[in-house]
Amino acid sequence: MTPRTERLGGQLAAVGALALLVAAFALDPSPAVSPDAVPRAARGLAGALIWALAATGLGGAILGSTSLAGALFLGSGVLGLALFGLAWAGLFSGPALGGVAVAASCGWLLRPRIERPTLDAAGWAVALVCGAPALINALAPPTDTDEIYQHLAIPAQLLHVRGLLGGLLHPDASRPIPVHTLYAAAMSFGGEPAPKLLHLIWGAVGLHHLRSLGDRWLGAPAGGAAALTLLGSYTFARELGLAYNNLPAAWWGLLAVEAAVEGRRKELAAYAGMALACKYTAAPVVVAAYLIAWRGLGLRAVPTMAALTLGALAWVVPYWVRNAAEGMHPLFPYAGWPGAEGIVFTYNERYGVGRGWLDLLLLPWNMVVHAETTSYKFLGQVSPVGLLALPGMALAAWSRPAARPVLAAAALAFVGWAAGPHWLRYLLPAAPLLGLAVGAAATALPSWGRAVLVAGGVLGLPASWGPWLGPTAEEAAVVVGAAPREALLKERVPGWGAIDYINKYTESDARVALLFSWPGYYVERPYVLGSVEDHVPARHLLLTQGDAALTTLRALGVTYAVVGEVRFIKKTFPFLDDERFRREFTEPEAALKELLLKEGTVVYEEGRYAVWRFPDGSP
Amino acid sequence: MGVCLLGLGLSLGEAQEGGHLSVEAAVPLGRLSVSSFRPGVGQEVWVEVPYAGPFPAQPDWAGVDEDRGTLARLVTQAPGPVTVRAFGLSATLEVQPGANRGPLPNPSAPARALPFVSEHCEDPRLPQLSGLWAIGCDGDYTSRAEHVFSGEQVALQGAPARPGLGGGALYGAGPQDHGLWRPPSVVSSPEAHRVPEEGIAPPATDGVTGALSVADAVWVFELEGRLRESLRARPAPWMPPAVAGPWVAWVELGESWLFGEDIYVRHKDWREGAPLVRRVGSQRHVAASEGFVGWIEDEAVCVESFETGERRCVAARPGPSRRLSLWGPVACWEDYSGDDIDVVCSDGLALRRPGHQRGPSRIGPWLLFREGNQTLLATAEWIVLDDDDLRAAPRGATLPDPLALRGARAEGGVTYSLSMPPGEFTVERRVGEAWVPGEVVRGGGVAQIDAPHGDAVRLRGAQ
Repeated sequence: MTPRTERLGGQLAAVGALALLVAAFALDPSPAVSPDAVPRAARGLAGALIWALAATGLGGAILGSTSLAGALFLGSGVLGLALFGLAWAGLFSGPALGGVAVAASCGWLLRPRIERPTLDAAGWAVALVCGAPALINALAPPTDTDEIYQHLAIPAQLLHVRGLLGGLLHPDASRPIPVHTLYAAAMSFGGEPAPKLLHLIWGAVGLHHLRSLGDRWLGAPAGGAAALTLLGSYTFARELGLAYNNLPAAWWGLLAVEAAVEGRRKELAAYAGMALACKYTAAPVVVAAYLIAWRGLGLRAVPTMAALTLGALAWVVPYWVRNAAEGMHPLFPYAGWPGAEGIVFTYNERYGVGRGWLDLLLLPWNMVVHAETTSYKFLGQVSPVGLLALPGMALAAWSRPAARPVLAAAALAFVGWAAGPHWLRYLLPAAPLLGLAVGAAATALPSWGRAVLVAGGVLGLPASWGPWLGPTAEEAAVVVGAAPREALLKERVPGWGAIDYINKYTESDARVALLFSWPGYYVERPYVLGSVEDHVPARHLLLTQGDAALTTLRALGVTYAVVGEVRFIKKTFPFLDDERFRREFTEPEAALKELLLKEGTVVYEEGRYAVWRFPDGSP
Repeated sequence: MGVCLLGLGLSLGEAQEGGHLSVEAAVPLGRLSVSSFRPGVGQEVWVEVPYAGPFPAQPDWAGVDEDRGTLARLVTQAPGPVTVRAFGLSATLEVQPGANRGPLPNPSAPARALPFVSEHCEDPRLPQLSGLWAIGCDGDYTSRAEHVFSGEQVALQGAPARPGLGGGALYGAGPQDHGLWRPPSVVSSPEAHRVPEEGIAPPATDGVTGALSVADAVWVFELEGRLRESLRARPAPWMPPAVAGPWVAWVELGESWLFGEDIYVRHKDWREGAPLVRRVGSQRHVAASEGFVGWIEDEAVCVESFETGERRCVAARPGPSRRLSLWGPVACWEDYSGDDIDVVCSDGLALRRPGHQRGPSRIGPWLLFREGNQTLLATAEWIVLDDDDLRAAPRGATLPDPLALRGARAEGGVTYSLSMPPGEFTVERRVGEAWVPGEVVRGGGVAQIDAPHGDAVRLRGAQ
């Protein structure tokens, strides 16, 4: 056989395989993937890619020459703030979003020099193993609590009202929302999966950049070790396919540190501001980046650092100004709940296993050994590799000067996290730095020491991937259309029956209050309140309005309330005295029960959730 | 509306007669609902057309004082017959010289705890009575049954989470909950009718027939049969339908945007359902028992005879009650008029104890309810049958009599026809101001109790 004949035969065989692939899926009488699932996924991917490419073009045009991550995340940060302005102006409509996407994409016309990412075989293998479940998560109907009360609920509201909501009736939307405006934009183009797919694209680019950066700064296999440590941690891996703001904050934080180490000050300010606006818990990483930039410069650099600080704050201040303009505390909803000065947004003591000196000293041990994904004991799971790498980190700090800035930044970020709630999710903004610290340890350790880290990582996988992959397998059937979406929602979304009642049986313009209830994303009616942290909005309403709480809601036109029964348990607040626990938690819930009995009619009840109807909108 | 008419086998074209809707189309029940067929002089009577036609309606009322569309009111002036007409239908009221007035007496009802059925139920409408069995939970599933008369306790195998209860049976619908249990048998009947989905509300049963609300229909079936009928409807979720013999009733949301919830009924000989109450307001939590249908309104509780249309509504504050309990025409509900939640019944039995009493479920003298985390069973010392009870058949005119219970009695006597729970009961007849013990009757079936003096009787459980 001649080489030409052989090539032709190969081409024909490949065409045959492709034809069989199409035929097998198109003509299968009981297809593995339903006809509806493919266009839904394709539309979602298109919606995510449009904004990812637009952001990359914009970021590339601003930076000129940069890494893919640098361009993508700078452009995303700029777009996030620009879209916030659009929403504030009440112009958050499809045509306006289209205009913004086209304008940002014009950045490509300037032919920015963006490094093309490359991936070796090992990288592809890891990407496939971890990317497949993350992709299923992204394509599945949202059921994660934070997604359905906040990260997707805010974008859905943005699209519904074409502008900003906020204040006491929509406290979640008063947060800084740079990623949420992008999620809304993606959702507008690509539907429900688009925000999660955009987050997944960010995750893939961020991880790739982490690996490259680790290898570049610390030498191989530091980058790979960093990325694998994160992927081997439940708390990180689980969020890849969800629409959250922890990982975007982490990538912006990493880029800020990178800019600080490499002396790119304007980029430092921009990325630091974006990280901070994305998630206030990125503050320790931002401080670490600034300290790196400041090292060795002394007091003479104070004006420069102050200017850089102002540059960073420029990305956050618009959200503060907006809150102030609406009469709220700039940091609302984290602070400044009016009329209830004592109300605490988050009790740090609630998470972890204690906050005594010994507990803090043993924190690296406790957060690995005692963490649980389903309880307030850190509410997550991380790979034990970080713990096993501690001696190696010490060795790297001593023996490898290049590793010292990274190790110092990681240590500072960790201490900053330890000062706040011991919730592993809050550690995510520091995760890339902590991964790089593991990478530094891996390069410093002898080969058998690295083997110990690998063994630890592998042994830790079941604890981390079990709680991730188990639920993901259930989602897979829904993603391909083999199981009904409704069944998954009914099983996982708390109060789904009540929400379904609202969507199916109430007037299309009925105004709904969510009291002690999370799933705002699925409410297809204008709604107020909703839950944050320990159900602060509903508790605040009851604490400040007392017996007039429902009257106040009815005066606002609320005719239905979805009410969850929390049954606050004292033992989950052991740090509160009985009197305070009763005043802040059990009394408001009990008062609501009594008010509902007096003023409402229950029209639906399922488990702990009920739909109450009020006679009319005005008392 | 069109759906409703078409469902009755009539097209809109057929329904029009010279520009007016035909009576058959507009009032498929073919009768008026009247608050009393034997009112006393000066008594207010409400008449309502169970109307299926378009609004505004023009019933052309005759014989009433106040026309409120499909609802009308009159105040009786003098003894004798009064005929009320609407849509060409008529109802004749026999106005009596006297009428019972004032509340029915409230018997004492000592209560005892039933720990076996006090465990938490996923559905707070449980525990409930099904016949004489108190059905409770083991923390999750509805798997415990305790006989209120004998005290026998059984644990049901594979029992459902949210069954339909009635007539001593538990019926579970849908793939997960499927089954039919008849305590004391602890296993499901192999003949249990199987439905393909769990529905949007718990099923309903009277022990023979079952009904299930699904998104766009109400299914009716024999519990141990194979056939299933599907009635076009938009039943309310969460609120189960109700079954009593050939009748099924449900809360209809088809026009909830206009009227709020309505009550629809259907006899087994009809092709489709028809409105029983279709007007502004929230008529909800339908229940049915032994030929009677009951429901809750915002400020009333109503019971109506399926066959005659005689309807009793009592002013009440049922508030956000989760269900209505019905034993024949005796309704029990949660009362929100006081400082706390109490349980009251239309025959005078009331539990006004400290704290909240909730979830009443009644049969005969037994009233199951929840108080705190306990399930309690109250046993009325006696139950009273008054001569204006829907189960009473007076033989003559109702006359004022200051010595009679509630100030009036039926001349020539009255016969009470009621379904008695098992057990032995002593009949005490009201004679003058005294209660005179009479014969002992054995329960467990329909009993005819005669009261020659035309006044109330009491049934006291034989000790």
